[in-house]
Amino acid sequence: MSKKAAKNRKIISPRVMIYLVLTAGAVTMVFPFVWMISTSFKSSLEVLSARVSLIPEAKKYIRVEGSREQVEFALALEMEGEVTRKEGDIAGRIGGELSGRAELQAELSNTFSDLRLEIEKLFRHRPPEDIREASARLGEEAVRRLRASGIPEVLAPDSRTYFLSRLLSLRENLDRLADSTPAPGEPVAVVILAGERRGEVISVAPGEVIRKRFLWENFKKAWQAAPFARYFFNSILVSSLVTIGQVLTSALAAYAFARMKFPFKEPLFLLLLATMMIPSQVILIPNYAIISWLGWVNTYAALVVPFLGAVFGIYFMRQHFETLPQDLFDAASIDGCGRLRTLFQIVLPISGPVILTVSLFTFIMIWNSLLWPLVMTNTPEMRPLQVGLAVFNQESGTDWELLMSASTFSILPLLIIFFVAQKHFVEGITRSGMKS
Amino acid sequence: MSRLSKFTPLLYILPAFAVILVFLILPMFYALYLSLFRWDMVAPSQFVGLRNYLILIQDAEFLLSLLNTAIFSLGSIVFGLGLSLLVAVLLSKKIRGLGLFRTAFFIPYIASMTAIAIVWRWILQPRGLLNLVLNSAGSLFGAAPGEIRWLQQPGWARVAIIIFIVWKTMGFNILIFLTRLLDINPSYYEAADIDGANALAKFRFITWPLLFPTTLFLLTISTIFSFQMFIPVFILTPDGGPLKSTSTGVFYLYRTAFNNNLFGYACAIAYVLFFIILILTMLQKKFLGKKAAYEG
Repeated sequence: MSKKAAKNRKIISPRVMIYLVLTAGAVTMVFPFVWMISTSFKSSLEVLSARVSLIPEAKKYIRVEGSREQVEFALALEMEGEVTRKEGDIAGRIGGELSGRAELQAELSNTFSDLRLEIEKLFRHRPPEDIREASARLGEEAVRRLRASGIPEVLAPDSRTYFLSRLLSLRENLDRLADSTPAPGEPVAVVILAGERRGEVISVAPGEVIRKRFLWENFKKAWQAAPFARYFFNSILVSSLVTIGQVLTSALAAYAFARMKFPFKEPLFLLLLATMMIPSQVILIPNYAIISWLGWVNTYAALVVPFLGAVFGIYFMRQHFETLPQDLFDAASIDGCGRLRTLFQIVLPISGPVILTVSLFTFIMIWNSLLWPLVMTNTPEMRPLQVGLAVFNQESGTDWELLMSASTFSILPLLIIFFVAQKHFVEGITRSGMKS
Repeated sequence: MSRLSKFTPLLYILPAFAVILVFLILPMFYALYLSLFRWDMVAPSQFVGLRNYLILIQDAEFLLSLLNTAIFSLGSIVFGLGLSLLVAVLLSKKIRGLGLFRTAFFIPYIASMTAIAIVWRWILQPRGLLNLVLNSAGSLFGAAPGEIRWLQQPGWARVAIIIFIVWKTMGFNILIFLTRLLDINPSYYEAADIDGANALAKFRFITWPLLFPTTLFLLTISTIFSFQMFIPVFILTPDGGPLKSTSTGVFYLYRTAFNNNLFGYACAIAYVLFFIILILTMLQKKFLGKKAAYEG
């Protein structure tokens, strides 16, 4: 018993390792999606700020001549500017004396960036007229921290005097700025952060400042930046038509190959299997020539018809039809049920899972394909989603919050389908994967 | 009547077969024919014999795209299959939350390649997420912050593409490995336990040999995938990357045909790529396939 307990204890630590490795891997897999969604809710300024915040920051806006602009309280910027100036002064004077004292250097720069962060936080949640007391405490705390940091002790006497005097001046200036805050209800000064009037300082009533964290309107903006409604419509239409058509033609062919005798059956099936070896890039250009010759370029026909027959579906369904008991077909035949009726009224209704798997694969393959529709369409009205997205990617180069919004609403429908039909999906992949 | 009915089953296969004939089998031969011509789809085509092929084997950009493809397949096979195998082995250890982990690893594979490649273009920006994460990880070890220009420098651009492919396709590899791993008869391991084999020996002498056919299959799939890779290159580096360092065979084919209107030449590219894939697949079967005979 005790031996077993000892053995168990030994097992625990590798198991913890396993979970750690798996969790790290899983996070790496999922994080880009989280980052995509998080970016979709941010403002363009926040996107460019190069700060990793999963939850978008709270942002302030005002309406300027009909459009909405992101703003910051002028006071907050002044206070942060003051902190940065003093940091520059101090680092310039004592930086040399601190070289080689990494922990003191770190403490110095951390204190200043903490102070800036605190100021930002303060203004993020409260209106300026409400921060007087809190900001006084901030300066005090920073000065106390730097005095106690051990920095003064290592400095030469005149540097030390300079250092302490700068700290005092920082606290005084912060206090003075805080004292200049407007009384409740009075207009506050804000700086416009983006757009044509960037940098302008204007005075607004506190009530006009809108606070927002999640910019839902990014989705609307992205949706309207390109004809995404049309792209979705095209993708749904094309993928559905191909799926229905392919399942039908595959079922018919698979039924014949599985349950009928006819001349050249074996060679025809082998020929079909051999076509699986043909890589899609070999046939791209001749197909483009054929589609042009048919006059189908930039039509739905070009996106649908060439995919109405597929070896994968035939192969997959034939395998299933072969496993059905012969009695079923005998009984149908005795009842006077024709072959075609047997297929549609008896065989297909009991083949739900297989049809679902084939449909799912076909739908997703067509939905996700890019190269073919990219080549075969040339106007926005005919583009399916993936092509529209690729064009949007090239046209709106660095509007990351819009690109991420568009990616989010393009990815989500399929992810939802996946979660609903996960079982079929996984089975389908393992079966088709292992057998090909 | 009965002679006719003998042929009625052919009607069942006709719809699918007609489409496959017109849009798959016929184009296959048509491409070979077109590759012997100089053709821009506007002016009448001009027969040039094997000239396209002769030019092709000296075409520096084509050879570079083959080199890039080789680098991508090697990188994605070594890292992709290695990591996938590791994760699959860990997942097969009867752990809790298997479904949750499997779903997490599988999500990238499900997501549309175009959309998620755009997300990675954002992550790979000089001041994007990857550099931020690397810098904050580096600062733990006292490294100075830097900025890798992932998509702007030839070497890093290739690494970026490999990272993306590995991330995107791992879910599939894991799923295939895992299915095979869970199929292995547990009595093998029990017997090894009795013989006192440690975990490493069990992997070396039981798991690895039994997984070999699966590995071979994934190796082939990964190689073919690299040769046909288009979307990641097109989205992440729309012009083929710095100094064409990320241009792959199919990407070069696309540009040759649809940007430069050299359709005959592009067909020659297509055929050469086809034969390279064919030869590689057969070589892998021949040289690695022998060992696969050791199957349980």
